[in-house]
Amino acid sequence: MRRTARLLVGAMALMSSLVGSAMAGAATMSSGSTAGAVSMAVVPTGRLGDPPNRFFQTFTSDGGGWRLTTPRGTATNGGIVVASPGAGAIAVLPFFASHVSALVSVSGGMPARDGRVISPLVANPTSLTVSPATGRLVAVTSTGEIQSARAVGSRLVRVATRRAVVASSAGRSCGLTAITAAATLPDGTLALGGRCSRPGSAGVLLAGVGGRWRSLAAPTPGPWTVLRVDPTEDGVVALVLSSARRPQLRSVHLTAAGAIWSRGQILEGSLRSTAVALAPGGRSSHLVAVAHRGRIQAWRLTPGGSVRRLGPSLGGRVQTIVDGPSGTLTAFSVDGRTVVPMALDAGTGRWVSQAPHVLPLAYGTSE
Amino acid sequence: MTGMGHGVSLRNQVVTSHFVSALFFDLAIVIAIVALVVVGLLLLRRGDAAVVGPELPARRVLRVGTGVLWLVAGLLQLQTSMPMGIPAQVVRPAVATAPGWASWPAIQATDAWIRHPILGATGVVWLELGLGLWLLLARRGALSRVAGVASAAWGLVVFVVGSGLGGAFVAPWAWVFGAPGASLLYVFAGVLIAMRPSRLASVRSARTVASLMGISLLVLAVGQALPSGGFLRSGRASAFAKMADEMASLSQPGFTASIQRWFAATATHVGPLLDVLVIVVLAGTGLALLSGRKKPIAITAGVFCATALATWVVVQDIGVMGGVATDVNSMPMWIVLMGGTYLLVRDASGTSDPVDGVLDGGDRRERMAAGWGAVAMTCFGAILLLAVGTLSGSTADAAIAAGGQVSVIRGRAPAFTLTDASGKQVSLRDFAGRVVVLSFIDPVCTSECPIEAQEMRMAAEKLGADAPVSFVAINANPRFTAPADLRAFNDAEGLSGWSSWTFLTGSVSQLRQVWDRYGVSVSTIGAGAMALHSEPVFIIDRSGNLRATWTLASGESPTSLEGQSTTSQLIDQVRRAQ
Repeated sequence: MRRTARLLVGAMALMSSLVGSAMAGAATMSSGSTAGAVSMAVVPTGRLGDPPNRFFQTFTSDGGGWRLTTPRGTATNGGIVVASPGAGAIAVLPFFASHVSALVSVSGGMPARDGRVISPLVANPTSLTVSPATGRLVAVTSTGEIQSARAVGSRLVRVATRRAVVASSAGRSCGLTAITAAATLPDGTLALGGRCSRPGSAGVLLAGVGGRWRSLAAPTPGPWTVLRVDPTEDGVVALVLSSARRPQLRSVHLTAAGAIWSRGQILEGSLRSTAVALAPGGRSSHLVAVAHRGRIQAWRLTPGGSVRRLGPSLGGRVQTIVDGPSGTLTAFSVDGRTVVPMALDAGTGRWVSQAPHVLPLAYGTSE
Repeated sequence: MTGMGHGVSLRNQVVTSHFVSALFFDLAIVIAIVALVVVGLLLLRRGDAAVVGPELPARRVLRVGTGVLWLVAGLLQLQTSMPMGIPAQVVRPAVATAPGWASWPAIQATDAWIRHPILGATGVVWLELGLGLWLLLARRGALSRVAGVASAAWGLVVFVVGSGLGGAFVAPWAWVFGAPGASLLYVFAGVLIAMRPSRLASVRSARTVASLMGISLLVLAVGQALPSGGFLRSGRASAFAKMADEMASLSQPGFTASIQRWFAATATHVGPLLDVLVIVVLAGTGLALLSGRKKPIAITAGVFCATALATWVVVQDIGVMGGVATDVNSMPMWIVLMGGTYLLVRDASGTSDPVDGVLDGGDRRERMAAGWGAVAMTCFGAILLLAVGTLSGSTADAAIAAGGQVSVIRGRAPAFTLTDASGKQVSLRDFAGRVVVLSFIDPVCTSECPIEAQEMRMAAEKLGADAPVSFVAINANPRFTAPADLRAFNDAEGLSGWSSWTFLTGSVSQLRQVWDRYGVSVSTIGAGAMALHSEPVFIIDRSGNLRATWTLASGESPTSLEGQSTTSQLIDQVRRAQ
């Protein structure tokens, strides 16, 4: 019964800080998604450094302005994943004491009906996806299951387990440590993204003929982590991050003909203080917003492998960049309860602020 | 609510008020008991007046040093943060990473303490104050030696129950951070005080004590030097300096913070040199003690005491600054022990068995009577602590501190018929003959609801599988109302196989009717907030009558202070309704 206890706890914290540093997580839950005529952006708001008072919001646009479409009745502190903004689903991730995810069907970006509760999803923007070709829903849960449903409203059933994938020859060869994302290819093939611990493997695994998994070779040593997997018309595109000494963020476009890796480097220096927001752009491209040293820069990674800077970099509090349904790039700036969409003017190449949204939620009440 | 951030304040107004009142009440009892004992003994003219020979200097140092430190510890227990702070901020962190066998006594003790925090805190006050006075007043004879036994026994209790074996499982195990635990040093000192003075004065005893101290210091030197201890890391600033810098940031007087900052700045320049210095001092003193030679022991003991004093100020923060300070930490006791050891070695007589009476005569009558008064005070504290461990139920202190004042209510419980997780219709009357704990749970709530469900399960486990109690929860979210939602929640929370648990839902109109009947407000707002709902719990007796209601307080986990308070409160109220 000593004050020693506090001293020792303090000492333990001190020692753990000396032991070494873990690589800062790069991918935030900021994300966006576009399907058909509807785009949806997931934007963190409130007190961004204080998770109990940080709430993720969904904003939806069908060509006009952006509307607040966050579902009611569940706290969004843990993050939101958008499976498909048009006619699909969004899921609210578990947070604090919760051990479930809330799944809400959407239609035209708006919550269509009351939600339901499913197993907790992995905190990654593509832990829940809907195939645009087949409508099949795939979910990656933190309980180690890959679940699938024929459609958004149907019952989710287990189609694979993390343990089985890790134990497969492909899983063993890449040293798979986690599954982070999933997608269904047009031909029904299940694609999984994960984290490989062995150099040279990209962490993208495809269930081929007979349910056998095969992994993808990476162009440079890793380890590589898949941040996002999205189906394309002719295959799948994945956004992958190497957390080696010189981190790389690349996209890889997988087709029957092979893999095309993006060229060029968009990360500067280490991953510390770097946040990466990502969203699928039009025509199988990816939008990547990299925040570094107080500024955010948008890039487009195309299936052909090119990397293109989009507009000038933005300072301040931009959290998410998303392709609008009309192809207009939109950035969301956040200041507590106020969210300001900013559109990139193609003519002038400048960001233009739109009408602000003031959220009906008071922050700081948990103090 | 939009976020989270609950927690019982350590200086909860109600608890503070109860604590202070209890102390004054106890003080009156203590004065009466002590006066009765002292006056009674004086009137009976009991006590050995045969004062013979001076007390051994070593024994005096150990006795007075230990007595003063117990007194200071007892005074520190008067802080109003003790009733709530001891379990949450002192004991639980010390055993957080301990294996089950080591943390079990602490968990049992804190469970009992949380049920009766005022009783526990006041008990420790009187026990430690009494122990200190006992050691100071009883200089000779059996009464003094028994004080040593009592001191060692209480030190052992503190070591095992209060500090998780001296924080041995809270790495790093290092002398500067308090290893092997101040309470273990009290045990050692108590044992020496309890020895017959004639035996303590012998050469053999002096050598044994010096050897034990020497070996201990060598072990601590090795522990201090091990990489796992965090020291001697090449290329990094001194961990010693970092700790001092961290301590300086704690709430304390400016002058002590200034000393620590100055030390941290200086230590940063010399890198790990100070760490090496500490190891050298520990090892050198240990070797000198093992040699048994007086002069090296005198020199190294002096250096050791100076090092301990410096460490106490710059690293241990004088033991009482910031946090919940329950004692002055290990360094003062090290100094007392080192002083006593040196004097033992210095004064060790060549004769192996001096006549007991020469060294261990009795105290004068008045002093002995006062000593017995201190014994009475110690016993009073011990009785209060025994009551903490044996009284069932929960005192109102814990309930109020946990945020829920229980209201006794009477009347028929409003009836309802809803759907359970399997789709079956369930009515309140189905639970006739059983006590019902009725709560309102949101299946997608991220904060209190999952914790409260676990608290109810913990309460059920403690009540026993055969107890005629049903825990019935009603859905409090109008957006997630399907039985499948309840099943998912039950699966995620491990409640599916619990036969006494029933989670009910229905259409929004059915649910709203029940919410209204029980006065539960439920609403939703946009922008990512959870369903807002009040969190009452109702106790319904076997006949379907309402007996009590209060607001559940969950805390940060089922095992947090508030969580355990809620669990004990549930158990208490269920037992009252049975």
